[in-house]
Amino acid sequence: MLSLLAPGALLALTALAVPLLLHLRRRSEQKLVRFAALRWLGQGARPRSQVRLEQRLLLATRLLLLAALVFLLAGPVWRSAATASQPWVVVTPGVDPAAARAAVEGSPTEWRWLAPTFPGLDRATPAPAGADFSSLLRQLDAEMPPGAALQVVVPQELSGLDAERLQLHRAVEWRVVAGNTPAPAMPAHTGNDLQLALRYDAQHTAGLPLVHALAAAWHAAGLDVTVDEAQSDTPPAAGVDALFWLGADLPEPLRQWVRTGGTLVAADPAAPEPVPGSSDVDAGLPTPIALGQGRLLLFSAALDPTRNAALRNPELPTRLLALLRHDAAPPDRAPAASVSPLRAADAAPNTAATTPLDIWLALLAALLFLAERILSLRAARQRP
Amino acid sequence: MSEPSYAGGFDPAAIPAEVRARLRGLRLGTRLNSRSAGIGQHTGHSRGAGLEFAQYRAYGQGDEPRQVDWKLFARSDRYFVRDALRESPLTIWLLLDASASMEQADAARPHYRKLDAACALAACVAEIALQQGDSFGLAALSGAGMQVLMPGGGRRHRDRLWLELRALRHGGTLPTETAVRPLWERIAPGTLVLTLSDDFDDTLVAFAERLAAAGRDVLSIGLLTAEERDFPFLGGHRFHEPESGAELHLEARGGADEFIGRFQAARAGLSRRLAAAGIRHCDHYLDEALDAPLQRLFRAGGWAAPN
Repeated sequence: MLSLLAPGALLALTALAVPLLLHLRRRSEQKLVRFAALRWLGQGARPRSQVRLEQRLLLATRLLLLAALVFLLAGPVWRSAATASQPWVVVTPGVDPAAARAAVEGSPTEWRWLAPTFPGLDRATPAPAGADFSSLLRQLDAEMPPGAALQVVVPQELSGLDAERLQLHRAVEWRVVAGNTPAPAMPAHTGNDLQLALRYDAQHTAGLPLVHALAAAWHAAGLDVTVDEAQSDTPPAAGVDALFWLGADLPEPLRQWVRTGGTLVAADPAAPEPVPGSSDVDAGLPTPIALGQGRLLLFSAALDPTRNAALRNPELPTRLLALLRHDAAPPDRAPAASVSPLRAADAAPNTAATTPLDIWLALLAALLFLAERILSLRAARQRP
Repeated sequence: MSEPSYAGGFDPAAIPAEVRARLRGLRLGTRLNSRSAGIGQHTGHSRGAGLEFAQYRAYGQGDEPRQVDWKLFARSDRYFVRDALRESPLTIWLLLDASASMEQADAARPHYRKLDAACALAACVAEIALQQGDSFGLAALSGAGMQVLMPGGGRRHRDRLWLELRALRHGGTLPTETAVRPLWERIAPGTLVLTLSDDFDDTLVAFAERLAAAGRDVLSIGLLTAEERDFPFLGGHRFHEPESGAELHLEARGGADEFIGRFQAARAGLSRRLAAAGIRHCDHYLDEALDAPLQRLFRAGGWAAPN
């Protein structure tokens, strides 16, 4: 199915009048001939109509060329035919597949998990969609052919919602079943205390003063800081808010500890070793990386204030504390029944499976231009 | 050259050398005298005063006494009259149509008009007449009236003719027959008259007919462009008739066959009409050699061209 991205450009089709006028105008330029034997010229040989077009082939080529350019401006795309018009059922991870099948009326054939790539429901339960829930639904809405029915099976409590109510371009059947979205475990931060752990090996002690300074800074800020410090790789206790690791590769016991929901601060093992005499780097604060249910805060340079300008920033304690305490997460959980998607008012274009035709149209225009040049030259040569 | 270029613009150099060479084989003649046998440049039927001795004959009543050969009378005691061949001088009138229709030329050769061809033909005929010692005169008819050069002979007269042709007034329509009437008195009976015209205007044709009926030997060369013969036009054209100012918008491609048919029929009709009046006629197209009509007219059999 052919459709245009910018149908307003078709107004430029009025330019077709230009070659028409050009070919008409030449008609009126009749050659004046002095002809004394006029009386023997027949009257019947008059031009049949005054409005006549000369060089119709050339005119047709020019019109086609203009039309091709105009359509090129209008942005033509080819949409594959809406084959998958059968209704889909997507099931949010966290819902029992059996319960979902029981909740849906009729007998739809397409059962999918609401997860990236939309795997079939017979596959294993994918990881919770988390913050991607709204995004995945919007993607599905955009990619499905218009008019295809969509049923969404959601648990009673949804997470990963946007601040705004979800708006889709189709009517969605919203099936709420028992269950809730498993949210990633968040480290609990309560009260005024901050439990730190520090693990290091013998070769990497340059960062020790940094951790001590951080602890001192937080203590000075009024926090009740405790530091569990050891030159080993034994994981700390479960209630520790942050584990500092000074060393080369992260030992497996610590990694395991992070997976259970801990937060680890370390230098990125992939970061280059500081070279003596080299200039400072300012790698900034790390971005949290999820690992299991925990987080990794990896500085992209060694934890050595003499080498890493970011560590000398006076705001480091404040900002690192904010990272550790996992602030600024907006509320994204709501009862599913209250957040059924709305119907979007604007008819957004379906961008599903569109093939731009620009290349072919441009090629056609180039060929037409070539043909127009050849015909025009030939006509000019025939004219005396 | 600081010479002004005249409207007529005739240039004797316009006659190509090969045409000039072929003219030597041509002889002008009138068939009006062909019945009387005789000798001489032209078959004149009058013997009389002349330089060339023909015969002695006995004196008869009416002979002038000064024609009597008195020396012979002294020897023979009889009156003899010395008879000489009188050369019969031929007068050729060139009747030139210089109306606007003669200003037409072919697109292939836009500066060679019918009028130019007519002037060149007139000059050719004058050249032949000069070779034969005949006299020639010119009457050019145009919208500006008549331009007449009375007959005469000799090289100086030829130069006069050239001057006339060079300063030829042309354009407009042919004068009426009343305006042409003075020519009647000048073109004497027995003279040769050659009309050079496209014969589109009936005035000149009718005048030629009357001349032929009144004992002048009239020849006619019809001057036509190659376009009038072939009608090679394609596409829309505005055909403009210079004399009446009429215009016709035509799709030329479709009208070609019809025009050629009609035009050839008209020419054939004209040819019959002139033949009925005793006028020898031939058409000359501008893309032909200049002497072609002269060859046809003066080489044709039945002419008193002495060999």
